[in-house]
Amino acid sequence: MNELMETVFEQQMGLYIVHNTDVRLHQSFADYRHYCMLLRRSEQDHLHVYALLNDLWHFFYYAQDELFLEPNNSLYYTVRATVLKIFTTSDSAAKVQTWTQGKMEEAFLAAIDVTNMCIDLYKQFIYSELCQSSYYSLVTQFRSIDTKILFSDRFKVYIEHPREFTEMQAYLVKLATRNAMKHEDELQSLINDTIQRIQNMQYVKAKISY
Amino acid sequence: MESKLSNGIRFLITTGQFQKAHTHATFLIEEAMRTNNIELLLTSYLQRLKLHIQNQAIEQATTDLHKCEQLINEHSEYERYRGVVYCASGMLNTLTSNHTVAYEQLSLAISFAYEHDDWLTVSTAYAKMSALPQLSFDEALPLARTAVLFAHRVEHSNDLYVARALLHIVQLYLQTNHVAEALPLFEELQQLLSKHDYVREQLQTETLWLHYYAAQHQYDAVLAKFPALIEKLQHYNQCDLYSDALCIVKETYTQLQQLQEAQHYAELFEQQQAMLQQHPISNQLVEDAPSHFEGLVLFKEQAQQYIQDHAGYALLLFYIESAEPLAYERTQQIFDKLQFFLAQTNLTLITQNTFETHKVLYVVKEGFIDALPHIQRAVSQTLLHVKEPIDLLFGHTHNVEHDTFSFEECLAVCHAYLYYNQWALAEKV
Repeated sequence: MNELMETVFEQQMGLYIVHNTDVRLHQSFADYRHYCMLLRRSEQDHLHVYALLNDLWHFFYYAQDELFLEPNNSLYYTVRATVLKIFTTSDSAAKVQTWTQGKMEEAFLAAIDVTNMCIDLYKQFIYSELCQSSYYSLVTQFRSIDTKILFSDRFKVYIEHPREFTEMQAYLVKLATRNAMKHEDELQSLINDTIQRIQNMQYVKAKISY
Repeated sequence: MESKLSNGIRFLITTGQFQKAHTHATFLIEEAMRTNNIELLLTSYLQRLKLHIQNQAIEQATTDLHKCEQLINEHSEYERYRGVVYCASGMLNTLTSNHTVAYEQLSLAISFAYEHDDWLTVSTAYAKMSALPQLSFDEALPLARTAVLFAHRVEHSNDLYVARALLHIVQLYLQTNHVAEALPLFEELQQLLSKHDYVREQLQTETLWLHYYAAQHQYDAVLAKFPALIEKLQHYNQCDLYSDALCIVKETYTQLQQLQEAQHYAELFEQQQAMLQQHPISNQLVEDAPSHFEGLVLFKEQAQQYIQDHAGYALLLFYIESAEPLAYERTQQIFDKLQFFLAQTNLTLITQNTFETHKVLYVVKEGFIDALPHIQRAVSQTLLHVKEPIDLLFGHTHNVEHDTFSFEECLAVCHAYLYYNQWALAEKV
């Protein structure tokens, strides 16, 4: 599965950019790749899960003034950008960031927990509705492929814009935001549980020296 | 109730009363069957299974493992035990030298146990994985360290679990001649274990000391300590530690040029190992459809050889589009049909691989214009034999025609063609 995280780095799929000489996270990934086994099993071969993991790792590791949003990627990956925004603008996320900032391993473990939380939310509130929609097939087609290819100049000769794809993104964004509002209490409870989990892990991590 | 009874067995195990623990587990299994208490039945089978693994009783362990798998398959409310069953399966596969399967099973155990906050199983699975022989020291050490991390997350009795995880790190250091790093951990183990009567962990520490003396060429110390240790290991029926000890003693006598004794212990060691060789253990847990991701990684290596060749090769991707998700078995039947009809065309099919359950990839020789009629014919014939309202989409990317010589790029372009409908684009040209 580590190949997928490498793809995320190599294809520059991240929503955040840091200074172009700063490749700390990419270089350090090999030291923490064994933690990827903690991801939900059903999604361990899902490229876009690793892309989210990478974004959250950046969010938890860097200070806010070191991070910039990549404008083009925010358009290519609208769904991920929405999910990231829902979480990172919450007070809870800022709290976790104070525990993990500048700590590579702690930030990665926190990113794993939040990624798993997003997977659980997706399965619980979105997946069944998506299966009934006309976009289901399109979503599954690009499970392990960087969707940036659809915006490539190679295809602009024939078609200016991948219209159905962007409609599918808009559908998923609506579905995510609608469900976030509809299940606000459950969502908050799940976020609180995840924060507690992260805090417990940070506490244990601080206790041991291995 | 289950917890208290299981705690009873755990107490017997930690204090070295393994035979009593086995009898107790068997009694609980009978009791659980009589009262139709499924959770008690599952946890008791799991406890007895662990004892069988420790005693290297492979046939009994396999029987109990299959009972556990069957219970999980039939009772979805006990899904939280899936991780521990995978972990046991990983340990059993390790014991029987099915190391690749063991890695996969332990990896599954980690994910499922983490999902259910079962820190002990996460710790155990990481520790057992770190001991697999196919891993290098650099790969194994982070796994063993992670086992310690998760042992600390277990709320109760974590001295025992931390000690077990630490033992794996010490073993790893000694096996790879990092003796200086092992020494401080012995002190930590001493502190953890001195507070308790954990028989197996004490014996494991003593076995590792034997290893330490051998690594330091302190052969007199090995010879002085081993008779008492071997006696204790036999008394408590600790087969795996007994094998380790025999191996160290054999090596010590070899180093001392006492070849007759070395031969004697080599024979004892081989007898011990003979019954463990390559005993295949089938996995009977019902799982989600396989993603074939590992297969895709291997296929990628193979396909890349062709894709980088300027003589010209193409990647051909088929995708089953359906209004509703199809079962894995059904997608495979459709792909078998497709393969049958593709084989009847003049396409040069070089290699193939299924992935993500509803996609199949081929490497072919022909460029797009030459390949198109063959693909269309095979697709049409396949669809005639499928009852469901599906479509078979395809994407074709020829390395020379598309000036694309990497597998990843060809795969991405194939997917883009699935989306953009390559037939329609071809007509535009």
